[in-house]
Amino acid sequence: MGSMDHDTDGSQNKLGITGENRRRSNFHIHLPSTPSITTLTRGGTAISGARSVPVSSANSPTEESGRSDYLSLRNSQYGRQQYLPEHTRRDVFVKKNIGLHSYKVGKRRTRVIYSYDEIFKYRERVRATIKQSAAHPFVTRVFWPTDCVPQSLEPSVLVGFRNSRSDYLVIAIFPGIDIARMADTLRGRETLEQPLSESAGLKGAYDPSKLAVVGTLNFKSKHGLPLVVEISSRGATPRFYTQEAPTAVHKLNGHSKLNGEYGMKSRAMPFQVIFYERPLPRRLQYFSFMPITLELADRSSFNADDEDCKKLRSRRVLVDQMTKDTIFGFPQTDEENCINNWINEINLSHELGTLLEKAVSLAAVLPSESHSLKDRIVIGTKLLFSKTKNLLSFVWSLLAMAVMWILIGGLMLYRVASEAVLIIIEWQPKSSIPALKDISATIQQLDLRLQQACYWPIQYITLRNQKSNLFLKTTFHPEYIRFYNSLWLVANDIIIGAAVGAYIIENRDYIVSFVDYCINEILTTGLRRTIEWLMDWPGGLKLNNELAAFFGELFLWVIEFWGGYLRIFKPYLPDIVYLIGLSGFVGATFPIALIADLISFLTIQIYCCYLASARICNWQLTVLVSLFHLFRGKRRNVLRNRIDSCDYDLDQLLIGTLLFTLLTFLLPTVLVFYLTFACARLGIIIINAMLESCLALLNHFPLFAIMLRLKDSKRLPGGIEFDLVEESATGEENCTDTVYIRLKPIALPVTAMFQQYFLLSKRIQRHYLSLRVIALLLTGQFVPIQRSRLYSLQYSMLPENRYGIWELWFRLHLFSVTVRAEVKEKFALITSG
Amino acid sequence: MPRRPWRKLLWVHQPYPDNYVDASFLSQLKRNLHVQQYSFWALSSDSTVIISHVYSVAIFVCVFVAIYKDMYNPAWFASIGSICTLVGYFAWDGLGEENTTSRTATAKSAILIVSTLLGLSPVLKSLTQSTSSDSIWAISFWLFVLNIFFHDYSIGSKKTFPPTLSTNLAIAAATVLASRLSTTLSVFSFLLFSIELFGLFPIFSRWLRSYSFVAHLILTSILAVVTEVGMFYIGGWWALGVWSVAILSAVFVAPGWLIALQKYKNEIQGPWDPAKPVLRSR
Repeated sequence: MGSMDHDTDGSQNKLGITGENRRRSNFHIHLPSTPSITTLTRGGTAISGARSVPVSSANSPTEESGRSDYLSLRNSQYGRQQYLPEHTRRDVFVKKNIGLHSYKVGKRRTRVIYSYDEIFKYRERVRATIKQSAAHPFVTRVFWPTDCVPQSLEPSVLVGFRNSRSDYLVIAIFPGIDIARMADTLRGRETLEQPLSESAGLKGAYDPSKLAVVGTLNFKSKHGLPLVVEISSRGATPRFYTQEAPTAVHKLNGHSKLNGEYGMKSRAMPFQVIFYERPLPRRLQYFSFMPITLELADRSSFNADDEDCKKLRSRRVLVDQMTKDTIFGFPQTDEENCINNWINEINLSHELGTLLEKAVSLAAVLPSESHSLKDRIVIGTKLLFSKTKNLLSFVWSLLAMAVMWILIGGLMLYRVASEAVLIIIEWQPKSSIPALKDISATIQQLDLRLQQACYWPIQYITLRNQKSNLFLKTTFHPEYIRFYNSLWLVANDIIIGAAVGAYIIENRDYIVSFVDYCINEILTTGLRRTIEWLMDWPGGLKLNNELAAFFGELFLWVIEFWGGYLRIFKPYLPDIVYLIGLSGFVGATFPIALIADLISFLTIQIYCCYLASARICNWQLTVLVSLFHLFRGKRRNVLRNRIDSCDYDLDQLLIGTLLFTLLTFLLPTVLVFYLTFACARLGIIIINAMLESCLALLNHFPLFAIMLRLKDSKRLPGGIEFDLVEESATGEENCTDTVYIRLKPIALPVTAMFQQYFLLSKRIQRHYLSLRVIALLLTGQFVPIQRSRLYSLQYSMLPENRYGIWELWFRLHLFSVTVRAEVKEKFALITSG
Repeated sequence: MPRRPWRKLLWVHQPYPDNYVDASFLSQLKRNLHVQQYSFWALSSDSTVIISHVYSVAIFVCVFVAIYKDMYNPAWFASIGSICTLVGYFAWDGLGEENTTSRTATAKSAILIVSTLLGLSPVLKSLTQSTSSDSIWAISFWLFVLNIFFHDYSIGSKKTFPPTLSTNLAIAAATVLASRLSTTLSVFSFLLFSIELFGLFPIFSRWLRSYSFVAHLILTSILAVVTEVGMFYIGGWWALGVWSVAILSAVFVAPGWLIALQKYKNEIQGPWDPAKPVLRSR
């Protein structure tokens, strides 16, 4: 069921039908146990709707079968019927005055639940209403481009798609041109070497049989075209008339009364006018029903096996079934096809318009029978221009080809080298042993960069191949954003990295002394002092002296042992800091990753102590629990996972109780040592996590997308929106049969851009801020840190399996072949000219 | 018009108000049907079962005080306890019919326990060094109280003996007390003695009780004498006096009091089904 949960307090008659909204609503939907349908609506919506069922065939034998795709929409404020396209049906299928249970969910939303009965009853009522007042069974739908209405308002010809007898999509308006000539131009008879539909970027993009001259604007004379539009003054709302024979309506009523002769202006049919602004393909604008996804499709929801994703998906399937098929019995595909078709045509409109305009202007000056001098001069200069342009582009492409061959060679060499490095990095001798890249942040970063670099050529080739194809442009736009986003991020990374590196190198002495201080004061002396404190009844806790002394000496030995190695390491510290500084020139991510690794390296002894104490603590707690069961005369049944009572032998009881008492009194000592090291380890993990979130930001921030969003939000479509234009705004009193709707693109919400971050933070929350983790930590069990899961964000812009060397070679080869073909073509153009 | 007599039937419509209570309503009520009258001597002889367990706890405390204050050599107590245990074992082995465990197994577990004690004694000695003595006394006091409450005083031989929880409580108390002792030998001897007293002696006394009640009474009087002597040595006349008064009141005053309280007994029974709460445990 569609939702109208966005912009709820806005204008009263706004109907949002984005795919995104639909999808989002599924998260909120409450599923009652009995089969019923749920939807979201906003309070106070005064519109209602249902699918208008075709008036039964007995009554209207002439009716076309495919004309049931509109919706009866009753506006109770005005007390009359309006019509909306069927695709809004779901969203409009929200009725305030049929019996339904609604309750407030939040401040702005009302949740409405229908039951089967109510829906069927309601549908029956709607059916009856339509039968009774069959005055307007049909509606003519016109998509009207607001951006190309001629300023002069001179008589013009409308060109557009004729999707059905009553469904028009105007794409361009040509002032001052003859209807017949326009039709000829469309057919590509004289002007174009090939028909429009066969031209480079448009092949297969649309159905050429639908493209036609559909009507006129401000024409005074009669003609046989179906649409007649009048605009009285500049800025006024266009008024629509039709010249189609009003067949069905009148036959339906049992009269064959015609409203005047064929070809006259007739207002028998109500109009539904949808204003839209043509997206400019040159600026990479386009409309989209579904919001654009910035991550790769196979990465879109992280891992497929993720349990919450699975839950979500199954719920979505359930909701889809409930809302679409079972209740309504409407096939979902028709509607989506319909709307996708419109969107496709709208996306093509500007390009088609400019092509046609070119053709028309060329036809206007083409040397036909009469050669005026002026025409010849114009043609001559145009030819000369095109010739020099061809020559220049030929030379340029020759140069580009030479550079391309060098680049291809370099790329292949680089690819082989990086493959070797990647194989070493990702090598796992056994599945239990982590790969090199899972241990070190630096190597992980290296892996990411190498994989990105392997993917770039392929991305670039794909983009370049699709560049000329207008039809595919919309589908490859996300790829374009991804490609430039990652390029830009790398560039940014290097710029920031240079600054960071220079800073580190300049302040080397200070940094070295600081690290030295840390090693001396914190990692050696500080730790020793802490352990000595623990050995001597810390904070008044009366620990077992002997055990504390044993633990203390053990850990002191470990620390001293590692301290010896650190002393060997210390003289090389300046060089290491210098190296970190230098690595900044490869990108700021590398110094950060190196620092994270350095911290991990310097604190290995803490990790060892933590591991040892955690093992001891966990062992002791496990033993204590089972001895406690023995103490009570119980036993844990592993097979049934429950506690059974058990008769122990006397010797078992005696020894068990002795040990239980012993371990209980020793527990505080063990716990204190464990908690100390656990806290130290936690601190190190937090520092590393902060560094790694810096890495994630630098590697993945949707910089390019945000820039696009600020610069031109139409390049990041997040769905479409139908907006009912208010009656008063149109200023038309007598034109009661026309409904004006505005079609607007919705920009991708910023939250959608950062959705991955939200997902990641949710996942981190669930994994690390839960009670389970605290329990694990307190009982000394291993808290798993799944590095690969944290890094899934970073790899989300990359395909799951990287393209192999042969794949790359094959693509590059294909690419070079196409480039060569282009050069040959250009050469042929020059020689022929 | 005479009304029809009231009947105790809920499903019949009767010409009486809803809250009407007929005089015959409780006619079938019976009171104190199964209450049996106690005899004073039977009660007081039964109380010796509890008294004998209390005696063993008291003996144990006396032994601890003696060892803690270095009044006697701890090995003495261990050897006396071991000799008594051996005697008791042979008596039980010779006279008892159902012996499920073989002698080798018993010897094996005895050796195991003794060696474990030997190994753990040095650790136990230092276990509660940093804890103050007062908390140890409190812990052991409560453990003994719980032990006395959870002990199984029933007559007759059951397989699940000794009772797990009370034995464990007593051993835990003994371990805690043992950790206050100063030498390894005293820890070992004390623990050995406590295991014999709390692990093995209840089995013997229970068997003896079922074997012959007179023998049980004799054993109880021996225990009483030993305890009185111990009390006298530990606490002097004053402790002996208090102890004797407490024991005598438990044996003679308490049964009399119970019989005197019998007149307040009010047990109701009738033809209805008394509702019993069903506690379902998993």
